[in-house]
This record gives sequence, C-alpha cells and structure tokens, in this order.
Amino acid sequence: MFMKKEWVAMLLAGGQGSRLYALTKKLAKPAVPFGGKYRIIDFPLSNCVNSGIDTVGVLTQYQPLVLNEYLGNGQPWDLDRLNGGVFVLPPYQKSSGSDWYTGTANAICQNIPFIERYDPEYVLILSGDHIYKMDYTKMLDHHKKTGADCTIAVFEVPMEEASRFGIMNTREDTTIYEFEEKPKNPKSNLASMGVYIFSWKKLREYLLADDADPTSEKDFGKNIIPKMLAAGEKLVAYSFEGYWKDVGTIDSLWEANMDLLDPRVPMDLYDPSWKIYSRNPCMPPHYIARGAKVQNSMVSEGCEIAGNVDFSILFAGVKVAENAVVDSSILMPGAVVEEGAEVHFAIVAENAVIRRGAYVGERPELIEQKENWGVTVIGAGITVGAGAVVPARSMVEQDIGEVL
Amino acid sequence: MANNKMTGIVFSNAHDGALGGLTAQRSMGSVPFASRYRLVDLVLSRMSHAGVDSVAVVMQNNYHSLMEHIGSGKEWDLSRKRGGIAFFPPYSSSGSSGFSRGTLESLSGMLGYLRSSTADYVAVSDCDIVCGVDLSDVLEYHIAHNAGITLVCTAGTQGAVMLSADENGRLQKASHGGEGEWIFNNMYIINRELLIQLAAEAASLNQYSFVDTCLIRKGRELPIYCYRYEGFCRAASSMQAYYEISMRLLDPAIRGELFPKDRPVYTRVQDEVPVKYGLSAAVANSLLADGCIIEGQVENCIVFRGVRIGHGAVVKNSIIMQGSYIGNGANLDYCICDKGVLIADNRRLAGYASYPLYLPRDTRV
Repeated sequence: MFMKKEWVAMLLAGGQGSRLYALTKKLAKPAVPFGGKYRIIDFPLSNCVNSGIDTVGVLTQYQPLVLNEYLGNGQPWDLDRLNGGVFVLPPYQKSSGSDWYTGTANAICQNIPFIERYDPEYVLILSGDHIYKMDYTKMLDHHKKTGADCTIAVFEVPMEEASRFGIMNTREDTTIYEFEEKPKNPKSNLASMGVYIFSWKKLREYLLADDADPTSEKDFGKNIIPKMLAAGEKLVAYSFEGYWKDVGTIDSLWEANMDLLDPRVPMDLYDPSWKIYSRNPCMPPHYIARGAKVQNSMVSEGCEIAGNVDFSILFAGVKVAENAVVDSSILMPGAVVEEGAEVHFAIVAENAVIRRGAYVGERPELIEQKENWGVTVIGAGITVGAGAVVPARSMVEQDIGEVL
Repeated sequence: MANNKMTGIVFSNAHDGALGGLTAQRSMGSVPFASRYRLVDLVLSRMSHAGVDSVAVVMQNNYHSLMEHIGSGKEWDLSRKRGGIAFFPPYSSSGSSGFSRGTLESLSGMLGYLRSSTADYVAVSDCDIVCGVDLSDVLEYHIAHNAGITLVCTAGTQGAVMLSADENGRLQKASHGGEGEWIFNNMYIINRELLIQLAAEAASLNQYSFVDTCLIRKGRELPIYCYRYEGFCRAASSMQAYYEISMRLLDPAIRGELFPKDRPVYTRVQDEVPVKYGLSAAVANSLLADGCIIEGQVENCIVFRGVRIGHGAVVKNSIIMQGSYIGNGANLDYCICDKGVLIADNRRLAGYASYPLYLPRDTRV
C-alpha cells in the first residue's frame, strides 16, 4: 500500500556527460565531485528535500556504480523514508524485450508504474547537471495559480549567450507560445533550466502518445514540449532568480567551482536554512602546516597542506606537499601534489598523483596563443611522473612517466 | 561455547569534575575534542571497530547533549536491530536515589541488561582517556592469557590509579596514586559471567567502586592482567591536561595514532561547507574543521566547526570551539573558547601556556 503524494520528483541522471571527458570515464555526470565536498547530484537532491519532496526517482543508465553507491539508502539527504525516499531506477527487462532509456521522455515513460504507485498530482522533472539552489514549492505555487499543464523554470541569460540555450518565448502573463532549441536569432533571453513541473495526468497522456510515435526522439525538449505547445496545452514559464549554472563542460565545471570563491556570486552554501547535504567522508579535520600559505580557497576535511594554495578548491583527503604550488585549480578527493610540483588552472580528479617537480597546466597570461589555452584535466587515479610537464588544455587519461 | 563476542559499556560522566567549565553543562563524553569530535566518539568508534554491536551508555548528569549527539548510534554503525545503543540514565528505585556512587554500583544496576547479553566479554570504558588503542588487540591478549579482567594501561608513574604486575602481566598490586609502574586507563575487558558475579556481590555488600573492590581488594585472587599500550595515551584529568592533549594533535604522528586510516573515528555529521580561506588568511600549524570562514591569522590552533575569524584577527595557541566568532582585529593567545563565544572587534585576550584562559559557552567579550 502506497500513500498518495502531492508530487514526486524524477531526476534524470543517465547521461554520460561526454563533454566532461576524462572526468566521466568511470562515473555518471551527476556523480562528478563539486565544491569541495559535494557531488553535482547533491544540489537537485537537497533542493528536493528542502522543498519538502520526500520521493525522488533517480534514473540511471551510464556507469551507475559510483552513483548508486553514493546514493545508498538516501540517509544523508534524509531520504530514507518509511513512505517514499530515494529510488535508483535503471532500465530493466520486460516480458516483451528490454530497452535502454532512449531519451529523457522515454526514461520517464518506462517508469510510469513507479510514479503511479504514489498517484501524484504533479511530477517534477529534474536533471543532474546543474548547480543551483531553488525552492521548488514556489514554482509549484506558480503552476497551480496559473492552472498550467506544464511549468518550465527559466533563467535570464545575457542576450548574446541566448543562442546556446533552449529559449522560451513568452507572453506577458508568462505563458509560453514558442520554444526554440539553440536559436540563431533568439527572441528572448529566457533559457530553460531543465526543471519542469507537469500535471501528471497530462504528462502521462503525452508520454504514452509520444512513445507510440516511431519518428520521435523521445526527448522532453525536442518532442514532448513542442507537441504540448502544438496541441494548445497551457505551458507557463517560471522565472528563477539567483545562481544557476550548467556544469556540462570542463570549462563551466571549473568556472562554477571558482564561483564559490567569489563573494560577488550569489551562491551561499553557508545558509543554514537551505543546506546542501552530501555523503560525508569520515576524516579528521584538515591540517595546515607551518610554512604553508592558503588563501582564497576552500579546503575540506582530511587534507594535509604544507605548500601554497591560492584560488583553489580542495576536496577531502588532498595532500599538498612542501614547496608545491596549487593555483586556480580543483583537486578532487585523495589527490596528491608532491614536493615542488605545480598545478595551475587544472582539474585533478580523484586519487591522481602529481609527482615531485611536475608542472601541470598553465596560467592564461603566460600563453601567447590564447586559443591554445584551456583548463587541464588529470583523470582519476592517473600519475603524472616526476618532472613531467603537462601543457594547458590537456586531457590526461594515461599515466605520464617520469622526466629526468 | 565461547563466541568471542564483546558488548560495550561506556561511562559518560566519570571524572566530570576534573574539567571545570568544560563539563559544567555537559558530560565528559560530550566534551568537544579535535575540531570535530567529542570524547565519546573515540570510545564508540574504538568499540565499533572491534566488532562490538551493542553498547550501553551510562549517564548521570547533564546528559542531554550526549543523547542528542549519539542519537540512534548510526554514525558509529551502532543502530542495529539486535543490540545497538542502549541508554542508562539514572533511575531511582526503592533503596536507591538513582545516582550511583561508583561504576560498580552502576553495573549492579544493570544486571538485567548484562544477563540478557549473549556476549562472552564486556568492554568497559570511561570517556576521559585519549588514546588510539585497538580493542581487538586487547581482546586477543585477554583470550590468550585466559584472563578474567584485562586492564588497559600505559607505562608511567603519575596516574590516579597505579598498578604493578609480574612478568606475565598478572596484576600484583593496585593503589590510588601509590607505587607502581603502570597507569590504569579506566578501560578494561572483563568476562561477562565474572562481571555479573562481581556486580551482584557488590550490590549485596554495598560496595560501589570498581577500583577499590575489584582491583585493590581482590586484585590478587582474580585473574587480572595488564595490557600495556605503548602508543599515545593521556587522561583529560584537568583543563590544563585537556589543553595539552589538544595541542599534541598538531603532531602528525600523534594524529596518525588517534585517527588511523583503517579505523576512522566516527562522529555525528553536520553537513557543513568546507573551510573558506579569505584573501588575507594566514594559517600555520593548525587543525580546522568544516564550516569555518577564516580571514585572519591563525597559528597553533585547534579550530572547530563553523568558526569565523575576522580580518586582521590574530589567534594563536588557542582552542576555538564550534560556532565561535572572533571579530576583526581581535587578538587571542592561549585561550580556550567554548561553543558560541563571541569576541568583538579589536579585543585582546591572553592566557599562558601553563594556564590557558577558559571562556565559558556563549560568552560575549
């Protein structure tokens, strides 16, 4: 027996996140570490819990091991509940064949039985690749007040960047009359955040119809939303104000991390009324040795720092040895920077080791050809040998030997 | 048939009086320690790593914060269907006020619990000892020596309870602060049957002290052995000792002993943000827990969760507990700030190495 819920959330976490290259080789994008102690999925999950949603389905497909292990029984997010909680929903075999999730809409469609158990009025659809703090209850209020069939959260982006997003063209009363995916000549700057609230009965209807359409790509943005618009359903935009960032690329992931160090960026992780929860590693406090210099940085538990750290984010258990320099970089859990090594503008993934005297990445001002500059990425568990030099914008997926 | 299982008993209030202000509103077990722990975390984690799956926590006074901290015990993997955490607050019954005069009297009041246990051994511990002993090693020693009681002790001459033993480790003599080469660390493993027998006997004879009755009076007739722990081990026997132990944590070797990688110390999770260091932060030789925002200078300090240290502030040789706020330009040297202390801008406070200045909880300067 399942109790009826007003709303449930479905979190799309199946994407590979191929634009994060080395970082998503062995884990799904929502499981990528972020902000010194979090993983990307902590943000939508914590938003759900803080908004009073106690039932969340997480749709997984690509490399789910780390994500599954991380979610566990949902206890860190208070989602180990008697009625509801967090559920990992992978694709499964059915009596008539089995299917991978072929699109975002298809993933939800295959899980209609899960949603039906709770008989919800509304379904919140989320994606696992954005960093933001949002009260979904306000969006639900807007949905109810406007009597919408679907409410799409939008975020104002600078007009010149609008052509990179899915853009909603709206009337004055916030109803949407047109949706354009990456338009060449955008008519508005309201970008879709990938956060949707649907009245469940309506969505169910469209999911089933779309599933029967062999020409459809089974995607919310490409199929479901256009079909609903064409049929004259009521779609409204809900404007979100605050910080929102897509972290689907190396550059945007690096920038979003650095935004946490910028006091002008309205992303307050210290707000006790809207905490971001995560599974905590069990480590002693971090230690800053004599002679170390740590400024403009975030440092998590279990770190041991004897070198110089500036404008960087250090996850749990990172070691920075004497005379090492870490600048404008992100060091994920367990990364080690040995004596005299330097790391500039880089993302060093979990448990990677930068040996003595190695030089990873470069400051942009030291590069003559600006188009050759970019953030360097060292993949998980990779060793960069002593004295080796890894140029800017490299993507290291194999160990690099020692250079004498 | 022996099952080699062990159950645990923790005395959370023992020696409360020793720490003055630190234990004015909390039990010994809930005294904050090492930036993000409480003393009881060391005891519970130690038991959990030795395979103990049921722990009785005995409480007398000021136990609210301890109960809140331990909760269901899940952080120590002690939230179990069978066993898990059991709290023993004082309860009065006919002929007793509920407050016990010694640990043996408390144990006499727990006979029902002890009898219902299926474990062969009981690990008993106070919370005031800071050490990294592995209880599995002690149990192995206990079984190998066919002991009835195995006391955990360290070499030394200045202890509250002193022991002397023969070359096999068998206890010869115990005394309060008298002669002996080993210090008793208020931690022991005892056969459950023997404990039941001793506790029942003590109840009928109106005896209440474990040390007096079992070690001093019966020390030679019972098979009591001394397990000598050679690592770091110190009792938080005074404010000064607490301060010194805390400062020893800045030594990586001591830290490695107390927080071994393969036996992590667990504590209650508070979901704090990593520490943020500002533009002018200058930190040296210090331990910091999550949730702090550091703008000033910090040297030789133990900083707990959620502490804010303002611009131009200079904090040295100090212990700053959770949620304290050190204003811009303030200057602190040899201070122990309890939780939630507020030091306004430009205030100067100093104690001395042999007499750290203690600021009680929620003090405003």
